[in-house]
This record gives sequence, structure tokens and C-alpha cells, in this order.
Amino acid sequence: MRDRVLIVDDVEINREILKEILQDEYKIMQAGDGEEALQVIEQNQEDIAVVLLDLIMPKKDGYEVLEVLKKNKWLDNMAVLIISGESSVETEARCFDYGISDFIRKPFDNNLVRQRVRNVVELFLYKNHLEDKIDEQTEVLRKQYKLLHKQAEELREHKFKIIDILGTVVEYRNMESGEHINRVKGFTKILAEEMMKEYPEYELGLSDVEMISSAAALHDIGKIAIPDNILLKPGRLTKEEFDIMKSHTTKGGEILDSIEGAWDEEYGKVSYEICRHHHERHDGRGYPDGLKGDEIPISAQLVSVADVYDALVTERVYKSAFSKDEAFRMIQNGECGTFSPKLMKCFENVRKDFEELADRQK
Amino acid sequence: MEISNYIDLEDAAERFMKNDELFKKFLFRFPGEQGFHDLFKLLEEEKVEEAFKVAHSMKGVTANLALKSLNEALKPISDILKAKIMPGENEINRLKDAYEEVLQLIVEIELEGRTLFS
Repeated sequence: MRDRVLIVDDVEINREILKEILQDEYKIMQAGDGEEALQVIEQNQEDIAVVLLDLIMPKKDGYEVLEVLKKNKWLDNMAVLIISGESSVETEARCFDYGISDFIRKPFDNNLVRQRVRNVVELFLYKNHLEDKIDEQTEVLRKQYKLLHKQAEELREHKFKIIDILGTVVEYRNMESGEHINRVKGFTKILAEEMMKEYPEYELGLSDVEMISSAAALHDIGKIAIPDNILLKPGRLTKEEFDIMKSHTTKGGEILDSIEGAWDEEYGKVSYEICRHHHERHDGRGYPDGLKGDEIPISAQLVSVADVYDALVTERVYKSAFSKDEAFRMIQNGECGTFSPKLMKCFENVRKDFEELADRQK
Repeated sequence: MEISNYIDLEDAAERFMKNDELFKKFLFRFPGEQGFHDLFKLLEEEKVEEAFKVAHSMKGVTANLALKSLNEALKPISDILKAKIMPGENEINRLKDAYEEVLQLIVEIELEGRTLFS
């Protein structure tokens, strides 16, 4: 509790006069010179609210006291009022440079001293109160920030879950298990991570990898718009039927376009690219747009390899599973579409990881 | 002795909130103040810098107690000492006289129980 006033003056009568006028409101401490003053201040740092300081004193003078107070940053928490017979403007200016709160000339008016001491005490109490408040509010803000951060994290996870659900719904309609979605996501992730390391020119970051592999869940969402008699037809599709089947890419893009506000722009863009372009081919003979090479967004290129690989190594209604060796060879040979050489290099690099994942998911 | 020759009563009354008792409490302590004895001793020893500090302090206390004659006698001494020069004997004697007079006046006020602020 800062409720003490230290009176520093070499003349006892002066100290006694000041004590007389202040003792009703404050606990009074006294020092007869600068050296004694510094000792008292050091021992009572937490309790002294105001120092009434004379300038010209034996041993250490008032300036030396101010020097130490300033150096130790004690002036932040206690107010110093100079009470001096030195009344030149230079003296006053020099004291204010040290950071004193007020300058009172001798002979002092007792009422005035009392009032000025009250003023600085109130000012410092108010200042300290404000500082406490700021600390408090900073803490509250910090907690709220943490909470927001946590909620944003949860929202993001929810978003990913909902996307998985969307993708899974489509797969079920396709009479396939939801596992296809998980595997395509897994293969995409492995491939995208390798791409990030091997080919920095694609400027993929960790967050891109995460976004692409999450959005891979949506690659076939357009199939929801394909009639059952075509989607589930066991035999070979006619050309017209196949054209309708192919439209799942553009339909997927349309569906995603119609969804607004559910995800941020970048996520929407990546999802759209994957839906629309995951059947494009490196040689430009894919659909729906016949894009060539790196005209095909990298996200869609990655998903197309993942999708084809998964189709090969798992059993479908219309075919049995190929062995992993065969699947690897068929993709490398371009029997299941053409892919960029860079992509094939990455695919080769992560062959083991692909095979491990394929085994794990069976 | 005519008080107003030695004490600026108006000034004292104002600064001591017209509290006669309060002012006298400190006035009566003035004779016990060691400063003047120190000052005269330092002047005898010609310790100019130390003498200045004490003179300055005494200027402050005499101003606080509105001891105008003594305060005025201190001023030239303090100014000369500040310039690190020894004051002349005349100034010193004038100061000694002024000091003696004030001590005498205070004794009178005390003995007669005079009221200072009307």
C-alpha cells in the first residue's frame, strides 16, 4: 500500500512543518540528507507514494537523489515534488527533465503543499489503477484470442469432416465403400508432399498440401447428378451414356460454384479445379476441357494419379483388382492416361508409400 | 520589540492557514535549530562551499517562518558564498546581529504569550 510520504530536507523545522500539514492524510517518513533519503527509499520502495525533496543539502544533494531514482526507474511508481529555495528557471527545468511531478518554491504555502501532494498522489493512484486495468484486459484479450484460435481450429476440422461426408455420400451412391475417398485423399497427400519437396516451382506449401488432400474427397461429387441407370450400369456404356458419365466433372464444378460462403475462396478454387479437371490428360486428350500439361491445375493432376491408382488396385463391380506391381507399371506406361514426367518421377519416388497405404486400407 | 520589523505576519498567516498555534509551535523551535551555529563556525573556518549549503538552508527556513529581517541579512551572504567568495566581516556581523535580535524577539513572544495573527 503506497501511503507514505518521505520528506527530505536538511532543516528539521522545515521537515516538521511539512509533517504537520501532511500527517493527517499520510504516513510520514523523514530524511535529513540525500544519502539518508536513498536508504529510506530503497527500503520502502513499495510503500512510498511521494517524495518531497529539497535540492541543496549536505552529503548527497537533491540532484544526486534524482539521478539514482531515475536510473532505477523508481520515478515510475513514486512522485517526486521538489521543494526548494532555488527558484531559477534552469533549476526547475533541470528537475522536470528528471521526471519530477511538481516544483514548489520556498517559502512554501502550507495549504498549497497539501493540495499539490494530494494531486500527485491521486494522479499516481489513477495511473497505477489504469496500468492494472490494462494488464487485466490484456489477459482477457489473450484468453479470448486463444479461444478464438481454438474455435477456428475446430471450425476447420468440421469443414474437413463435412467435406468427407459429402464425398462419402457420393461414393455410396456409386455403390462403392467410403474407403475410396480416404484412400484417394491419402494417395494425394503422399504425392503432394513429394511434389512439394521435389519441385518447388509449383510453390506448394504445407497448407496447400493439406487443402488439396482434403478437397480430393470431393473429386467425384458431380456423380450425384448422374442418373442411376448410367452410374450403376454393369455393362459397357454407349457413347451417349459415356458422354453423360463424363459430365460428372463439369457438374461437380457447377455444384461447387453454387455453394457460397461455406469455405474460403482458395479452398473453393482448389475443390473446383479438382472436380472439373481430374480427368484431364497431360497430352490434352482428357476431358472436359482438353487442357494440356501444366494448363491442368496441379491439384487436379495430383488427384488424377491418386484416383487412377486406387481404381486399379481395388476391386470394382466391373473388374477385379490389379496387383500393385501391375498398377505401378500400367500408370508408368501410360495405359491409364498420360501424366506429366514430373508427376511420374514423384510417383516413382513414393511407390513404397503408396503400396503401404494400399495394403493398410484393404 | 516591534514584531512586524522581524516577522512578515501577513505572509506567515497566509502560509500557516492563520493558525496562530501552529506557527508559534515552529517559531519556538527556531532557537534550537543548529544551522546558524554551524554557519558561523564554518564562516570562521572559511569553509566557503559548506557554508553556502548551510546558508542556503537557513535562507529556506527563515523564509518558511517569515523571519524577514534575518532572511534579508542572509541573502547577501548566501549570494557571495555561492560565488565561492568569503563574505566580509560587516555582512557577517550584520547577520549575527539580526540572528540575536530574532532570538530575543522569540523569547519575548514566548514569555508574553502574544497572539500573532489577529
